[in-house]
Amino acid sequence: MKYLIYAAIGLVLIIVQVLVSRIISIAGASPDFVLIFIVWLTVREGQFAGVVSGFALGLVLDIFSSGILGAHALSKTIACFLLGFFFDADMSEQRIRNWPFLVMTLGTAIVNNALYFFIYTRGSEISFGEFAFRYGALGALYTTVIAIIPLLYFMRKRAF
Amino acid sequence: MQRFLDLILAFKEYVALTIFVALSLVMIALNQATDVQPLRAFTTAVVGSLQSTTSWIPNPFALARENKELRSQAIELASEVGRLRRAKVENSELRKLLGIANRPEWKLLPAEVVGKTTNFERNMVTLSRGSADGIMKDMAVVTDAGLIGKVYSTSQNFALVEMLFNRDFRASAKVARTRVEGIVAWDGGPTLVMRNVPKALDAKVGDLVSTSEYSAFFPSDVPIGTILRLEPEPNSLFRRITLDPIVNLFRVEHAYVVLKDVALERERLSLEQRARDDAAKQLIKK
Repeated sequence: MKYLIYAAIGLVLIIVQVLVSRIISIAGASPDFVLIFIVWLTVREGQFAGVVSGFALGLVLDIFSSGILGAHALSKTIACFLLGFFFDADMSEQRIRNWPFLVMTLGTAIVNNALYFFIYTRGSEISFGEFAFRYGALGALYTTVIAIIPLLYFMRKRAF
Repeated sequence: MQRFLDLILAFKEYVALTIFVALSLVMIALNQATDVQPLRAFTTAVVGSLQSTTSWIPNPFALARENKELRSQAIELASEVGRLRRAKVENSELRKLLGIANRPEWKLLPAEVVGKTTNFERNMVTLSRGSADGIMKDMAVVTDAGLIGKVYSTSQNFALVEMLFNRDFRASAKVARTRVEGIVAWDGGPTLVMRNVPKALDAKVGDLVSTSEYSAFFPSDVPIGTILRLEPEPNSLFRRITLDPIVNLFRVEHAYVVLKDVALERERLSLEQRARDDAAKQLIKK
């Protein structure tokens, strides 16, 4: 049941991502709502859940964003696998409700964007370094700023 | 067997990673395969329907910039319209004098932009017309100002258009003044880049670049952009030309799809094939 709820949340976030990214994009960069969710899932459930959710949600995002099929899936799978090394079952709740969540989101977003843009710029006239710096770094920062919203929600939840 | 299963379970993260990475790489390799098209058509229909419900919501960060750009463009366009009207009349009279027929008009299908994805990775627009209106993959999409891109996928009622600012965009183009040919692509920024232009050939800052006659997808003479910079490519006989796109891609609200006359094209291809076959038969006879 828990995993069905996770899947439903993931699908809702993909729809939000596809529809809302245009409205809230700044200088061409938009936040990655799906990434925030899979970071939260990896911190809470562990590396395996992170890898599976990263691949599954990344693939659905690829399909719905009409992007390069498999690019989001690959970058999110590897980013969540690396994040999974920082999983600690005893500390997970504490991490979700404190600043380490933001650090983990930023780190994962940087790895994810670097991998994604590496695939994206292959075989094109686009320079990987310039593109990844211009949009990847900005997108990772924007994603981290948006991650403050769930962080505040979980901090507030603990307070009551 | 049990030991093997235990081993897999013990390293399940690594096993999952290996499988998913392999699957992702296969999908990346098959990205342009025709088998993926039905999936693209399905997502175009779903995303198009969803986007058409939210297309009225503006991006607050872009509105102020758009307003400023629109005002300055309106002034420029007003003077250009006057010049173009005079040029059209002159052109028509000169053509009559020379006995050249006017170029056949394209068959244009007007469409409304119901969805826009203008972020760093995918710059695409969703049009309110689809395969039911005769739109097919790879058809050119233009505005009154110039080229926007080409149709990426279609569903019954929607068409997803890949804009010029897209990693896969390529167009055979020419400098309108001198007919110097090259290939236009996106360089990842707010500009386009024209490649394969020999250093010796004539091109100047401010020259208009339009689609060439050799393009398989785009009709000829559709404006793409104006030359911003010319730089020599190191260790090469060519130079790199940076273009400022004519159309503001982030502000497109209406577009026209250039419909291809499939029946006519099929007939032309079959005639060409027949001519080639006849020529081959004659060669064999000789």
